[in-house]
Amino acid sequence: MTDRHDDEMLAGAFESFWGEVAPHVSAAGTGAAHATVRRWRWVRVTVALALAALAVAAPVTAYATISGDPHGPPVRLGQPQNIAPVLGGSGASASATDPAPDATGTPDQAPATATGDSSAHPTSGAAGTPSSGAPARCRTAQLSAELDLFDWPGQIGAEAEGEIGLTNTGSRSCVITGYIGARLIDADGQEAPTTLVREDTPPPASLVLAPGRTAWALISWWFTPSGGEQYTSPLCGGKMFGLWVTAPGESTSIRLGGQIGTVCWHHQLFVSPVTLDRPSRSRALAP
Amino acid sequence: VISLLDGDDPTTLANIRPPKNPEFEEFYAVHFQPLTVQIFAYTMNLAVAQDIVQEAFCRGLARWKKVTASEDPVAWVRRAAWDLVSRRYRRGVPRTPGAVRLSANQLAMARALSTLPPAQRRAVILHYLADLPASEIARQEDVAESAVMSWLNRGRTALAAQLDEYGERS
Repeated sequence: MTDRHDDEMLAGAFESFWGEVAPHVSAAGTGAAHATVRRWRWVRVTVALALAALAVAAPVTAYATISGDPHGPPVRLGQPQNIAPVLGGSGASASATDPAPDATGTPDQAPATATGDSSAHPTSGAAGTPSSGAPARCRTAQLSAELDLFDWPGQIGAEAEGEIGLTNTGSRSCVITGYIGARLIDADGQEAPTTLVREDTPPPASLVLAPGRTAWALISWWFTPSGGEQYTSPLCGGKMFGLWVTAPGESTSIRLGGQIGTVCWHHQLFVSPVTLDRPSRSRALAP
Repeated sequence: VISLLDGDDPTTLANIRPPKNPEFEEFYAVHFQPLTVQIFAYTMNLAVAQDIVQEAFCRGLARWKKVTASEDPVAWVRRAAWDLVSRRYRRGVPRTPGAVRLSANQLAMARALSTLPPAQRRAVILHYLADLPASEIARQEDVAESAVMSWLNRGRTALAAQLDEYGERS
């Protein structure tokens, strides 16, 4: 059998495939496309760190003072408490069972450095490797957070996307690795049970964040209901109005406002590992 | 033929307005169906294919000036659609019902296509359904033309063998 024969046979086969499938295609129409585009909004919310840190870190400091051991053991990374933000089940306030050294105000002297994937796999329980010269893990206190929702897809697609930026507002470089935690906030300002699904592309990598630089995490969700959510009212539990964001390996969170919209599949958020490239500048969005 | 997708938010009904952008109107009318058939050949889920192509058009409309300024607006939307496919399928197959009742011949085709590795499948679909030369496929996939040639050759051989086998049996 020749290539030529194959080619002709396949051309014919695809032609009849086309002929059979094409009549089934129904387009949502340009009216819907215009409507979708009209609805797209850029929501940019930047939260000054001072506010967030005051709101969230203050209780930690208080706890550290009460427990009275600012010179305690080095921070152990990858403790079970780090899982809490990922599962979305923890309270908004910090769980300060193991006060970090920076709770006493010296973030850059944290003796532990995030190494490799310890924060990417919090369940591993790996301890940080002490190293004095390398930059330390980025702590919540030296990060500011922002949320950009992409201006699509409105309501015709099934998926909405946004990116969360964590900017190093400190004076020294720090290391950030792996996945952020995120918990949705509902219309009443309450935390909504959130399921995070970690995407494995791109693979988690340790990033050195120089002062002023930002690490980005892509988040996305489906705003069309799953089978069991077809008849929920309000749809999928209503619109969401913000996020608690936890930096990789951290246990304190930063609150971000802004209308997220409907998050279906039982408040399921997909998160990608942090990258230095902005997801919104990636190929999928701007070829 | 313009109809609403099943399962849309009912508020979509309020969104049907007179055409605003005749150029986009025509572009959409000409290319929606072919692009959807191409994506369907890969996903075998018509609802997902329509959804993805609609979203790709919306992305194009949102930056319409940029798209029309590019040398090939269809390529822009096609590429956006295929990017959406790979993103959505990275997390597994969407559980949206979207099967189409196909004849035995087309079912054989669908089955044969689904056995190809993704790169070969895309190359074959783009070649036969989108009528693209290897150079264009290479540009969309960000690979060398020689890689596309090899995907095409292997995909063609595998597909033809399976369809032949089916033809002999029936």
